[in-house]
Amino acid sequence: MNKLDAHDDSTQAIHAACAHCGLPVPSTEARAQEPLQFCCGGCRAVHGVLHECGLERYYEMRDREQGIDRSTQEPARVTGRGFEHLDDPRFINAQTTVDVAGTRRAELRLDGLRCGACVWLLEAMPRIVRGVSEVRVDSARGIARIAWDDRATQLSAIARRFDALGYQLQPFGDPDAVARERAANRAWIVRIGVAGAIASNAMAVAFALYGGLLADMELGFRMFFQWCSVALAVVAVAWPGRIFLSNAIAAVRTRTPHMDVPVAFGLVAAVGAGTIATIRGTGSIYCESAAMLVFLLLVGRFVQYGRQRRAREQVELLLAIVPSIARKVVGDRVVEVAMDALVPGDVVEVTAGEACPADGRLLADSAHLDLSHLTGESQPVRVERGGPVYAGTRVLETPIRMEVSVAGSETRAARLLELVREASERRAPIVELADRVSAWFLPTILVGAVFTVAWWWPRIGADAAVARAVALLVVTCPCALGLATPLAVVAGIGKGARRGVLVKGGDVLERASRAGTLVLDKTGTVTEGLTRVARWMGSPDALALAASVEMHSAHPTARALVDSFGEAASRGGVVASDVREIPGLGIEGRVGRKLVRVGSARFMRERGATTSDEMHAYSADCKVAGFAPVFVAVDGKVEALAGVGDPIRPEARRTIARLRAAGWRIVLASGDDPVIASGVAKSLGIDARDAHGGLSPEEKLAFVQRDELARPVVMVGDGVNDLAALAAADVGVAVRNGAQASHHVADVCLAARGLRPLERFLSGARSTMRTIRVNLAVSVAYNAFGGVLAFAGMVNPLVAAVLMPLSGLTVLVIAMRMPSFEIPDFSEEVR
Amino acid sequence: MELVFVALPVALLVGGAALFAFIWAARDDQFEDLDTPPKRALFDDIDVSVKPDGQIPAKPLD
Repeated sequence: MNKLDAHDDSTQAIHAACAHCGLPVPSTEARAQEPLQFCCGGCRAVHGVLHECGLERYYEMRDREQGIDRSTQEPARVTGRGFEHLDDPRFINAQTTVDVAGTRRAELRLDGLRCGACVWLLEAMPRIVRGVSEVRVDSARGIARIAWDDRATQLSAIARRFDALGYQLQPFGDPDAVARERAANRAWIVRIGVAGAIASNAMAVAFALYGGLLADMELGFRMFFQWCSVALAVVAVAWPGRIFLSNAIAAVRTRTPHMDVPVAFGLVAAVGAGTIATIRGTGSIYCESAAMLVFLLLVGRFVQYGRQRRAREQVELLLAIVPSIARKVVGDRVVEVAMDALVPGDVVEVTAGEACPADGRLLADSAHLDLSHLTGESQPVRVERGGPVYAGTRVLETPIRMEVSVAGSETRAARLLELVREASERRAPIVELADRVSAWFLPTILVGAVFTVAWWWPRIGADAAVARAVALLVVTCPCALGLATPLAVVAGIGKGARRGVLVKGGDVLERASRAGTLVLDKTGTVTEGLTRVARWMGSPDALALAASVEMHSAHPTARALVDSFGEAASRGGVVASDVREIPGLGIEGRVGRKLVRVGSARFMRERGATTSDEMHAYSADCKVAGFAPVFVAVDGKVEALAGVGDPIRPEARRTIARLRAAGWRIVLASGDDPVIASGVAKSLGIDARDAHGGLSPEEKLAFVQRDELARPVVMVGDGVNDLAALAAADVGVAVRNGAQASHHVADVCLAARGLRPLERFLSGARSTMRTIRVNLAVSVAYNAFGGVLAFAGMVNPLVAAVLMPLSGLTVLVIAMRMPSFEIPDFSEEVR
Repeated sequence: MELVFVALPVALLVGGAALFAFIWAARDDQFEDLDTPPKRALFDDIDVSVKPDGQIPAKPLD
């Protein structure tokens, strides 16, 4: 029995690198006579433009970029779109500014940036495009700021020029959110700067006081330094440190444990005791410790904020790839308008491969629609003239026109999003581990302080006993405890991001750290997400004949056959004639003198083609494995059989076995046909009772909310049909290239499809939590040690000032050194 | 030693002035993009108006 390796060889590279992007040139693109080879039309076009404009220096620039990573290179993408929506007066009024000289400025999201040479190229635009006066690129965030002369050019013309070079401009979906994020970042930087300045000045003053501890300082000087120290600490706590106080007050009000409660208590205790001691003119003060604590804790929070912002922005960049533009038909012209500008009755054109912008009726004779984003159905659906078309479904093959009946928030996809919002509001927040620790931390310290006073009062007198209790309160102020979680989370999110796992927050890592239930979507996660010939038997010649007939059809099964056997068919040089497609059954036609029929078992029966028992058995095998059997009859006799479907990823079975061994219950929840879903589950070693097919979006939502599932429920999916379930699950994981809304809803975005990135995320969550636990243990140990020293009367301001940063440093080193997001090597896997 | 009573407040004032300069810079978004400016510094010695082969490029496009 023959089995075909699923990879076809049409993409095999010849020995040439693309003159633009440096990637291998596939044989289909190679042109033997030309001195320069390109991997695709996009690269060819961009190279042409660069040459024409005298910007070949771009290549020189790019080669100078140090440490350029070949794996991040990708071919240039030129869409050839019109970008007319950028000239829409509503957009121009809302998102651009104009000065008296007539220079208009706009900030736009920029897609296609790869390295510093891209920045150079784009910032050189004013020299090659008339009317553009300035381009500034923010390469970290993918933002371009453009200034141009309104009278000389239009934004759409500039955008087309960007597009010709392989970069796409797009308005921000929510410019206010960008402004808010920027304001938040500014506030953080100011807070850190002020806290740092105060902490360093407070330490300088404190050094004078430490010196005074050793050599007797005159009282006047000492009081002066103490007042300075108190003043600085009060400012530090009241200005940058205010965030801890307000968090603590909010936590007490809602009666939820929070890390900031002991932190705020420690700060207030240190500054309060210092102020009283200074007014009374007796005792040591610990004000510099309070100022330092504010600074260190803020640094920890700031780096965590920065990482999370970065992860969010990278998700935004993934989203920017999907256009939010509709092509509206006005008279005999087609104009691009924003999706939300559509009203019922509009006629829009949707090109092949694009998603429909609204719900409506089909105006073309017929169309094949890919509903997988909306319903999860992997097989395309054929719609006839006047039939319903839903927003978010992808048009295959030929461009269509449709009449909009429902647009905007009333479409089926938008109503699903409404469900998503409800589901995410119902999700219970978790109490983070650090907060649970802090819940018993503060009472313990207070008991310790009271005990210190009670123990020492009869022995050394009231004043000395209270001084020891104050030292205990200050020295146990949870610096390391407050840093433990942010640092571990920062390290975790950073390590994940470098490996293509974008985590939106630390709580996500905590939720996913224990093994629970893993709900997998079938398409694209455990399978490759493409219809292909997965296996076949019989005569290869018959399959080549089948491919030449199928070349006339747009059906995905036909495309799968053509992909695998089209080359053999064209080598034969025979062209099919009299091709007739019978919807739902198959296709028939003549190749030379032979009558070829391709289709289902029923089609064969109806046409009276004879099928051998071996073929019947193989067809049953295919069904069990999750593939649809396609028969090929030549002159009335079935000669070959192909199993067509979405093949399971090669690594899926072993990865699933490993995850099960780690304690996860694996459930398959698919919108696809139940028979195919259970076939896939069987070949993956998933229990039959855990394979669910034919689930509607609402059923998926209800499924992840079932009580009998072990928590946490981690849901993996990428379609609009998965959105509500993603939002309702404890952890929602979206995959790149899925529906754009899924990236918004999900807690985690994986930059690559498949199970390995998922395994990486789960392993990263586990190891990050281990780091947090180690860190918390270390900081509790430090505090216990400091508390004992204070009880014994061995803590003075100098000891406190050394102990605190030291504990923070220990925690930092642990967080940075712990390995994370590691999974078994792939090369071992395939053998 | 009494100089300390003057010197310390003066030092704090100078520090405060620097702090206000920093806050101004932060509010001016000078810390927003820390990745691109270091790259931009390398661009200046490549002249767009001359091609690698020494020719002068075509006029700007419309």
